[in-house]
Amino acid sequence: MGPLSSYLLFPEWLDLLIAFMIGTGFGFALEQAGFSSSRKLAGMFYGYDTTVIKVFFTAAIVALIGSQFLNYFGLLNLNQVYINEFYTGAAIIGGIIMGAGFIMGGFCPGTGLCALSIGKIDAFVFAAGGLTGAFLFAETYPAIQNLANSNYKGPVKINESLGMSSGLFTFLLIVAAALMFWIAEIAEKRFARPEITNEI
Amino acid sequence: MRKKITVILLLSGLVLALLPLSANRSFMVKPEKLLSEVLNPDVSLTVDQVAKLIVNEDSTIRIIDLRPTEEFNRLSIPGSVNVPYIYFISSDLYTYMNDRNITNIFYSNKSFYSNYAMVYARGMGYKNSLVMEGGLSEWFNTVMESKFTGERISARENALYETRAKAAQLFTQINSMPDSLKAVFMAANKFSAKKLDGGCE
Amino acid sequence: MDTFKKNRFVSAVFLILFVAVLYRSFSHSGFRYDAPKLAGQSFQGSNIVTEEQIPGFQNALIINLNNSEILKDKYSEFTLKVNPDSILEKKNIRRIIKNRGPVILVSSENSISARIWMLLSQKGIKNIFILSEEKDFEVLKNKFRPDTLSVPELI
Repeated sequence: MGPLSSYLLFPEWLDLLIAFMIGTGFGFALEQAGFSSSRKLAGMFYGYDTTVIKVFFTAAIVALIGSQFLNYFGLLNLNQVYINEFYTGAAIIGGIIMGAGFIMGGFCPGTGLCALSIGKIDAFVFAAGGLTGAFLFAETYPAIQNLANSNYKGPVKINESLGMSSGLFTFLLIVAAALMFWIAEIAEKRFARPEITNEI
Repeated sequence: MRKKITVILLLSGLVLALLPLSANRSFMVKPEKLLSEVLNPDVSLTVDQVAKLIVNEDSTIRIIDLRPTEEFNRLSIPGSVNVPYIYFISSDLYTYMNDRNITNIFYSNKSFYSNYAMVYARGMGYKNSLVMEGGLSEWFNTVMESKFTGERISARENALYETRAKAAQLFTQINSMPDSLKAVFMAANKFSAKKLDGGCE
Repeated sequence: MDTFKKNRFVSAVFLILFVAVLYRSFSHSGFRYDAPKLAGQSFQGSNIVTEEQIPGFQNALIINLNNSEILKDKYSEFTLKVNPDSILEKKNIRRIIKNRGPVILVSSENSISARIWMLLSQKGIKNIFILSEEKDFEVLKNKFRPDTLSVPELI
């Protein structure tokens, strides 16, 4: 039964080892998908390469479907899976900053570490920028605390706030994703840059 | 290949959309196994056994009162915590039963709620669940109104009546406190909802 | 048919999933989904009946657990004597499910009836009741006399 660490009361070292193994698998998957290339990542925003959105969204949907079925068959207790707490203001502003940083830098934090591990100089600079940003956040926290903690909504689920079952929401999300991928295919043809994709 | 994967995902989503999914779950234990567990005499404790645990201040037990809060505030067994039955069934039991080193003993006014809750908890995989048979009614009949009527008392009976007397005294003291003092005392015993671990905090 | 043959992989995955879901949804061998909802009838004692109510039931089936003498052989024509530990045997479950009217659990100990009730409800079996000698099933009749002179020991 899952989550295993709750039911089997894993010791901390085992929890950390599992996290390490999962992280290794994740990094491996990112690298083999070509996500250590900033051009590929930025391509999502320019339209010439929509691999990122297809891969990440498909992974999210597969995980969503899998967890719903595991919950239904009694193999996973979704009530014990952590849900991030939602602060509206912080999410919007943080999302804007992150989006701008993603387009400018060509990396997000996860893929930045992935690229850093293979020695890319731009990834080193990106990681240094990220750490600087985190440091500045910590140092200025007293001044921005109210903004960071404003409009607290708790650990909300979209299906609950929309008043629909999780299964129905999953289906609608899959339909939306399929539509989005179809639009992404059209965008790739429209904004193609053949010289970029050949280099990767 | 992409089309096949899309079709699989869409069909799976369609199946999920038709299922009566909610945040709730079902019993995890197999029915036959649960039946033999709940019919085992070891899942029941007599009021004398519970009284002894209370008098000895046993820290490996937690007594859960399943009655409505108003009834609990008026009268309760010393050291018990209140989780009204409706909340107990509707919530995620992890909130109340997360410590597997603690044995939870359920009681109510009679035997119904406590036995429902015990089966429910065990069905959800929490084997550390027992029930005090007879509930508060039996506590009154056995502990509070305990009187030795024989001519000679054996050592064993003496120990039993002594335990009952101590438990009755504790019960009287706690439940005779003025409301304000009692509220402070009860607050110290309340459950704090265990937050799930995770996130960046 | 050709479409299925061409898409064997998709069809196989979907079929396995569909069968698993159907089995999970309709099988009586395990417990049903949504435990709190199935336990709902126990909240306000709406699953408790008294002896006076039995004549008003149509097609009632009385399950006498542990040879209880509460009903004193009344209603023996629609009483089934079942040992609590064999309640889950196929023949007993089939008899309970097939009964058109309410199923009433009778036991000399309320705790046994309560436990069996919860177990059967969680298997998705509806219309089950517990016979209690009193309708006020969770009312405390004892009176407590506070002793305002007693002082709890300081901890």
